[in-house]
Amino acid sequence: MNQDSDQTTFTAHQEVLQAPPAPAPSSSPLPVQPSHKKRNLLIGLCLVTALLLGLTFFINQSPQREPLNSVLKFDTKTTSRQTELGQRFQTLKTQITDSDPTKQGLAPPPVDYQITLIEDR
Amino acid sequence: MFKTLTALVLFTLSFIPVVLAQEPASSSATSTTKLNNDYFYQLEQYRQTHDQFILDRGEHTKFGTLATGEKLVASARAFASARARVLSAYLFALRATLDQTQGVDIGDKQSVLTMIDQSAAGLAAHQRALAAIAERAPLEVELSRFETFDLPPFFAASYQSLSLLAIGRIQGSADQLLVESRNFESQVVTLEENEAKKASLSRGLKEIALKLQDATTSIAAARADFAEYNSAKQSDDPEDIHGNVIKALDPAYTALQQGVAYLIELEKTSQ
Repeated sequence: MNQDSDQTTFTAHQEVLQAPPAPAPSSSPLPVQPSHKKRNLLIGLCLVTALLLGLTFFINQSPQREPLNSVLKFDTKTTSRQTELGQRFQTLKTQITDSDPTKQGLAPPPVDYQITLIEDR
Repeated sequence: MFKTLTALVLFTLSFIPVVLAQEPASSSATSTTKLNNDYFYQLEQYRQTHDQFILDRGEHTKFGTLATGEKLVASARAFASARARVLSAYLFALRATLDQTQGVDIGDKQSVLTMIDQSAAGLAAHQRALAAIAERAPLEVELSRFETFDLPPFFAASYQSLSLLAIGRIQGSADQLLVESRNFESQVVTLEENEAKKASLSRGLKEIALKLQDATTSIAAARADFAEYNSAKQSDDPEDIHGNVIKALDPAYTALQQGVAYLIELEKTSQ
């Protein structure tokens, strides 16, 4: 009982003052970092991004869309000089020119309106 | 690196709805273009069947056998069917264009659109009849029936549409010239401080008003000519009435060209 309660004797135990034991070298190798998994993921993301960019570009270049150079007919020098009214009047002039009644866009189709099974001699 | 790429993907994804949202804006124009393209495609198909029909007819004239006769009937049936498809495609393209045209009387437009629909229905019935024919005699009867009963409504609908389109385009231009000259008056002439210049610009605007009056008179004459379609007899050629409408619109076209030329000059003078 007395021996148990004597707390001054603990220094006698050598292992208390010793440095903690070094960890024993493990015989099994450390787990390999999944570096190529990460690389594959990055490549995949790059591909997805490229695909999405390509898709966006493709949709944007649909055939019905008016080409950019036909929309931007004016040059910058003229634009800077012309007033907004002047530009509108030019547009009106084009509209009037296009409304020429003698120019028909959709005349009746040039087809044979009479079909005969006997050849004309 | 990973975060950057994820951000890039999300950034790209955010643009897709914006790009897709731009498409429906021109859907009516796209629809008209599609119908026009279909018309030209059908016309090309028609030309191919036409060439085959001419060959088969020549062959039957030369040999006159049962085999060449059967071949000719099949060929003529395909040719007539291709013709009906061209005429239908033409009517649909015309209908879409007319439907979008402004500056025409709503009643006239509706009446012509109904005529187009009726003519297209007649063409569809003709195609169905052709598909059920296998012999020469009924084929000739159907071709003759088509010329007598289906062609006149087709020409009436076509020429009335073309007349309305011509009137609508000129009326639209006249309306636009009126709006622009009034804008010019309120934005420039009224605010002009130099009295001499103001008087000169006002005189110019009066000239434009006179040109617009000429155009209005001419358009009214064209509308009167258009009304002749309704009172026309069966024997009257709709092409002739259309020719009269076009002739009546010519002074309006000239007046509008002069009017806009004045307006451009006035705008230059005002600077």
